[in-house]
Amino acid sequence: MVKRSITRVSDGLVRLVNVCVVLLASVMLAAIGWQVTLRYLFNRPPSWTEELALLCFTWTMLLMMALGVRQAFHARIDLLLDRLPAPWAQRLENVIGLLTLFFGGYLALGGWRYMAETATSTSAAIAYPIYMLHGAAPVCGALVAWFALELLVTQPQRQDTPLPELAK
Amino acid sequence: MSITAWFLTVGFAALMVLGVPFVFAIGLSVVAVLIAVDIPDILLPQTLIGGTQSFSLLGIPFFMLAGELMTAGGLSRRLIGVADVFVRHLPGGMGHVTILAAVIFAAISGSAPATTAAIGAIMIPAMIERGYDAGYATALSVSAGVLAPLIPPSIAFVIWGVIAEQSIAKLFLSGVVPGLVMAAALVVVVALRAKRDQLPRLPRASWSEIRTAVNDGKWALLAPLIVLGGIYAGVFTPTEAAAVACFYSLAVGLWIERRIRWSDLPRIILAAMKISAIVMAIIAVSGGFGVLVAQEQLATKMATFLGDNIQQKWVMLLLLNVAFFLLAAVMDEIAIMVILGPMLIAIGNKFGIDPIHFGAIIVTNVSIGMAAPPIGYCLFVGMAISGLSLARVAKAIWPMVLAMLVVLMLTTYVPGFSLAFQKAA
Repeated sequence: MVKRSITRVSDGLVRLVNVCVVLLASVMLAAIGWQVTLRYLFNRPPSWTEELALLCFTWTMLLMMALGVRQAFHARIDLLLDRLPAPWAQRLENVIGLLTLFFGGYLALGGWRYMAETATSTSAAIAYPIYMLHGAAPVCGALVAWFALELLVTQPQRQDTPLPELAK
Repeated sequence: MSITAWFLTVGFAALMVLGVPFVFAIGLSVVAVLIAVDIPDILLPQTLIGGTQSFSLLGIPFFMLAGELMTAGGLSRRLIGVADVFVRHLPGGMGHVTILAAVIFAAISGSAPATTAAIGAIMIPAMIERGYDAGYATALSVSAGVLAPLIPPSIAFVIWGVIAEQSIAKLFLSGVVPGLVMAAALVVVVALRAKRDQLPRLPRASWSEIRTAVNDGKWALLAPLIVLGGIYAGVFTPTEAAAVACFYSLAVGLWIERRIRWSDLPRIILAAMKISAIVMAIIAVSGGFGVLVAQEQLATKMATFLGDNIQQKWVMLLLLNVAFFLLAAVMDEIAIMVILGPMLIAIGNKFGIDPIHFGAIIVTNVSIGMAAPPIGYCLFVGMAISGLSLARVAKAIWPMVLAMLVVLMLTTYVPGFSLAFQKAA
């Protein structure tokens, strides 16, 4: 029951992250496209495009970094895991899961403090509140921790690091 | 050794061996130091965010996306068609087609996995169908794919440019000769193999076939001209060029080739962002690692130690290449560049190596690392396409890796190789 609920929440989070990433990446691309167009055609490069693109870039990459925990696409060496008997390999996976959970939690808390400390600042060109940028760290940390917790609770069968979509 | 140094070296290595993903092994080493030395925890998010706030690095997802769009839009198939009519009649012709197509594709995408996937997905089955050994077909596609970090534009050069604070346009040019010579070295391997195995030769293409293929492939062939021409004519920066490559590939895929539908875009974007995140996560998390390494002056101390004990430049360079090759067997190449970057740069400076030449040496190593067993990233991309085991592909790829190592030696000891086009930048 608990496992199913956690999986359902995670599935929802993955869908949300996917939608956000597609939107953010599209804005990022559009911003740079607009920058090139304005500079090339009118010789008037806008001041805000680079900042907007970088804001989207940070969010896109940190959201995908967290998603990498759920989809196990981060590169790692699994030579030791491959050589251990299955029960020991699972125990080691649990240790790795706990370490990932700890990292995510630490990043979430540190990121929250960082966001709070810089809450009154604004960005240089657009003057957006800087917590909109710094908020990516605690969100990333919380998602990393959640997906690591899910792995610990649901204990999926160990598999090789999946290959990139590109290979399909 | 201080406690910081212990965590950043032994602790990091232990986590890697245990199987912790590189990104979290780096991050956990940083966290351990922050806790042990009582440094405020905001250093981690601060450096993580800072690591992604680079306009140059913004080119990475765009280059990945351009590669994805080109594949989905059928441009890679057109490029292969063009390569086919020009070189298929040579001994081992399909192998030459693979190499030539990869060189052209690399001149747009800049990503080794994207190039391996785009070319390999078409060429591996085609070669197997025409009687080539499956292991050889996979190994060759992987080897051709790793030309991408050397042929401009290149994600690896973008990353090294940011780490070493060097001109990315100049670094791109430094890869041209090593990249083309590496392609030529692979051509030799293919020709020798064809002779040994008596591989079938295909008929020479007629003029009308050539005309048709070039006409069909003109949009694909135009892409490198726009991207590279734009960068070197000063029209756009490498990051902007990558974005332009995305728009171009999208437009061709949507309206000319008509192979991409708007509904395909989310899937294509997600695939590109996923593979970008594998690279960018390591770079971002390494920011904190770099700060602690700098605080402890680990890189400078190590470079001084090596400089005091090794007098000759050539020995140092040989050692560096051997160390990189061995490290790449257990560690991600991007992680090696980012983590060891400060030390490598300190060594390069100490021995008076031209920074652009040094960048070419590093990226040639990265290229080889991506194809070399046991954890070469492109190797796994090739295996996913052919469905072969690591052992089978690893056995077939050694002649190609050896040829690449010869090119590495040339790049290392003949600076003119990488500095040939520097006046153009």
